[in-house]
Amino acid sequence: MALITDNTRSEVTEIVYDFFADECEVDKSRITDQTNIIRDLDGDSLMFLELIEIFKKKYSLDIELKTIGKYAVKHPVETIGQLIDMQMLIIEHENRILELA
Amino acid sequence: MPPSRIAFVFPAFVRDYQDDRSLSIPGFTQHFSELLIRASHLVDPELCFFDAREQNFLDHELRTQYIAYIHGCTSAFILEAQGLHPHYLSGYSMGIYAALVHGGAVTFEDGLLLIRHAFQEISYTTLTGRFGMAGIVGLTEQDLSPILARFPEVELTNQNSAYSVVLSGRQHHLEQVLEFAREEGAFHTRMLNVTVPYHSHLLKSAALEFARFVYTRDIKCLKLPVVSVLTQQILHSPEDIKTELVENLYKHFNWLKAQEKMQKLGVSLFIECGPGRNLTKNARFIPGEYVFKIPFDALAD
Repeated sequence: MALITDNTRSEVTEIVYDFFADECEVDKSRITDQTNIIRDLDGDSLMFLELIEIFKKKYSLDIELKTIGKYAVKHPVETIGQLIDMQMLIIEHENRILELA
Repeated sequence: MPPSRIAFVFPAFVRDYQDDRSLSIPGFTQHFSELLIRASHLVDPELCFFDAREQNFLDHELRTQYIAYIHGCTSAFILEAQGLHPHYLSGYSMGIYAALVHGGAVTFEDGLLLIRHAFQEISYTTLTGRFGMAGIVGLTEQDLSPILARFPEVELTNQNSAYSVVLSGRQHHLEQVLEFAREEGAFHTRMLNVTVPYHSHLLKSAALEFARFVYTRDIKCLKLPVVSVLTQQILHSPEDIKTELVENLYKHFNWLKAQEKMQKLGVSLFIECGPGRNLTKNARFIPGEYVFKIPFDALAD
C-alpha cells in the first residue's frame, strides 16, 4: 500500500494536469478541476487507462483494472477534479476500493 | 539517431476526421484528389464529392472503407516521396488492401475492386440478421472468458492490446456481452459502426465466394514485405497474398501480436497511414522501444 503524505494530492494533481495538457494538446493553464474530460478535452477511455497505469507504476499499486472499472460504474468520473479524487482513493485503498462503494 | 526500421501500418475504417492533419502536408491534397477521382470513375461516383471537413460518408460502411484506403495509399506515397522508406507494411483488418498496393502486389484500381467485391459478398450475410462488432477496453481476454462462454456465437476476433479486444457476432448477443462486461469492470464498451461481423466464422461462405474473384486477379510478388495480422508471418508470393485476402474475411486476427512481431524485426518507427490515430493511441499499451506517429508528425521531424 502506498504511503499517503501531504504532498501526495499535489503530486497526483500535477501528474493529471500535465498528462491531459500533453495528451489533449491544450495549454495547462486552461485546465481546472471543473474541466470536463470528454466534453472539454475530447478525452477518451484509453487516456484514463493510461493514467491509471502511470499511477500503478509510480506508487507500486496492487489493484486490478477491472476493480477500478467496477468502482467507476458506481462512481462515474466526468471532471478532472473527480478523477483526482478517485485516484487518491485508489492510491489509498487499492483493491479494497470496492469496499467503499 | 535515425530509426533502425520503419513500418507503415494501414487502418481499416474511419471514425471521424478530427485528428486528420494530413491536409496540411504539401502535396497530400492533390494526390488524394487524383485518387478520389480515379476511384469515383471505377467504383462509386459519389466519392469525388468527398470533403473531410464535412465529415462525409461516416455512416456509409463501404465508402468509409474506400476513403481509409485512398487515404492510406496517399499517405504512403507522400511519405516515400519525402524520403521515408518503410521496411515493413501491415494492414489492420481491411487495411490490408492499402498495404498490398504500397507493397506493389496489386494496383490501386485492383485494390478498389477487391474492396468492393469483398463487401458485396459479405453484405449477403447481413441479410440473414443483424450483426456487428463491439469493442471492450479495460478487461483482459481472461476476464472475458466466463462471459463469452455464455455466448458461443460471439467471437473474440481481435486483440488490440492486453486490455482492449474486439468482438464479432449477432448484434443482440453483442449488446448482452457488453452489458456483462460493464458489470465485470470494463472501462469502456461500444458497438462499432459496422453491420458486418468481420473476421468471424459467419463470413466463411462469403469468403469462399470472394475467393472466386481473388483468384482471377493479377496479383504480383511483394516488393516490400507485408506482415500478416492473421498469422504474423511475412507475406511474399501471390499465393500467400490470395490466401491472406480470403482468410482475412473470416479468421480472427491479432494486432497486438502483429505489432510485437514488427518490433522483433527491428521496427522502431511505426507510421499510421490513415486519417485517424487509433493505432497510435492503441500503441501506448504495447510495451517496447519504439515510436508511433501519424504522417504529419513523422514528416515534421
